[in-house]
Amino acid sequence: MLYKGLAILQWGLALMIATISASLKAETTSLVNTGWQFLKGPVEGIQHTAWVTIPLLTIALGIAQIARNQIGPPWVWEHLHMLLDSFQELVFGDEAGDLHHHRATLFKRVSFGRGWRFWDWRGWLVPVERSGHATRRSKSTFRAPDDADRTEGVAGAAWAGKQTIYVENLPDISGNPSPQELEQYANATRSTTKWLTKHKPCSRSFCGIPFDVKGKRWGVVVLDSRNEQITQKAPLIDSFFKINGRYLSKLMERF
Amino acid sequence: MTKWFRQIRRVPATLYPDMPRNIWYKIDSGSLNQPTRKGEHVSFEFSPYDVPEAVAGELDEQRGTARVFFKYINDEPISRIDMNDFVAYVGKRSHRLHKMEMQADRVHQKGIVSVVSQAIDRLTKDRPSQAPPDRYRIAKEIVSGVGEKLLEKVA
Repeated sequence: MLYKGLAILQWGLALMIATISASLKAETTSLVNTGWQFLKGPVEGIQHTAWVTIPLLTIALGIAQIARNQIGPPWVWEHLHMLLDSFQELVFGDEAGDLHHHRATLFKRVSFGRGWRFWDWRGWLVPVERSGHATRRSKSTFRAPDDADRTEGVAGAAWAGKQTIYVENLPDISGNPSPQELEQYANATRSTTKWLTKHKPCSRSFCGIPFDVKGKRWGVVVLDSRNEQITQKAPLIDSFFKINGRYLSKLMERF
Repeated sequence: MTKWFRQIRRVPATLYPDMPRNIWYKIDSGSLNQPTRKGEHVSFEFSPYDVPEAVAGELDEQRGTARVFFKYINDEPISRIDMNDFVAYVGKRSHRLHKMEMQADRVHQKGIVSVVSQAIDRLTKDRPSQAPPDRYRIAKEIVSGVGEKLLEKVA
């Protein structure tokens, strides 16, 4: 919606620049004593302010284009969501229970944090898209600085280690976990007990896969499941990337 | 009209202009990328993007060159590295090995496995800070695994 709105805004801005540029050539004196005399004042006003309006409108046009590039075309989002859904279905399709108990999320590495962490420019992994519909929105961001010891979450560990990481056999902390269980979960997932107490994640196993675009490490794909075991899914995960990895990378070149 | 546009559109330089008609050997990434377990953590040494999908070789007697090609999950910009007795084509950012060109005479004398192995050793030694996470170990293992049949032509 916003992408289309910005496109319409760009058309409007381009039309305004063209109109102002054309009006510079107009001889306002020729409008006197004609039926178009009422245009003399506005045209002269446009001519006098053209030196500032044309550069400002051109800058606005550029900003709108940058914003559109950042948002990305809707078809890219649709295809990305479709790919993550396929990944979720391929890896967890045969599992008992609801499919939304197992998710695939794509994180992108960015320089600045989101929200109140915007001032921190040491590097963050922010969610870009997630499979499914029920729990599609994710606000979890993880620290991913160059110093590997300071990374957060399974996503951060996979990013820093440049390797595929599986974490499994995690305790169930969705109810009323003991401090020991919280501590075990926090150590295994590189998170804090405070964060876990607040969010109470239901996932019992994770997999983080570093993700490349044009040969450069771009982000991490994270799978999380309510099942305790996930390493047995390694051949399926590997075959997904062999079949779709190239397409996924090509799609992300748009960002 | 569309046809004309297609023709004048700039085509990016491809890594395989002389794509070999030899056999592409599919690589079993599972055997090269072994898991390690530490408590709740199981980690694989590399990401799926670091392990080649397939390898192929080509012996061009007319030009006097032997080539080895590695195919990865995704494409990337390539840089050419000219060494004294071989040329390596590696990823600009990832430094992954995509192609090697060697003199056919040396390959006849020492065999492809030995020549590639020596070339990779030199590449690692001369460019220590510009190597992929595996430091070309995977490429070396793949070539020694396929062996001399790498340069066999399709019957």
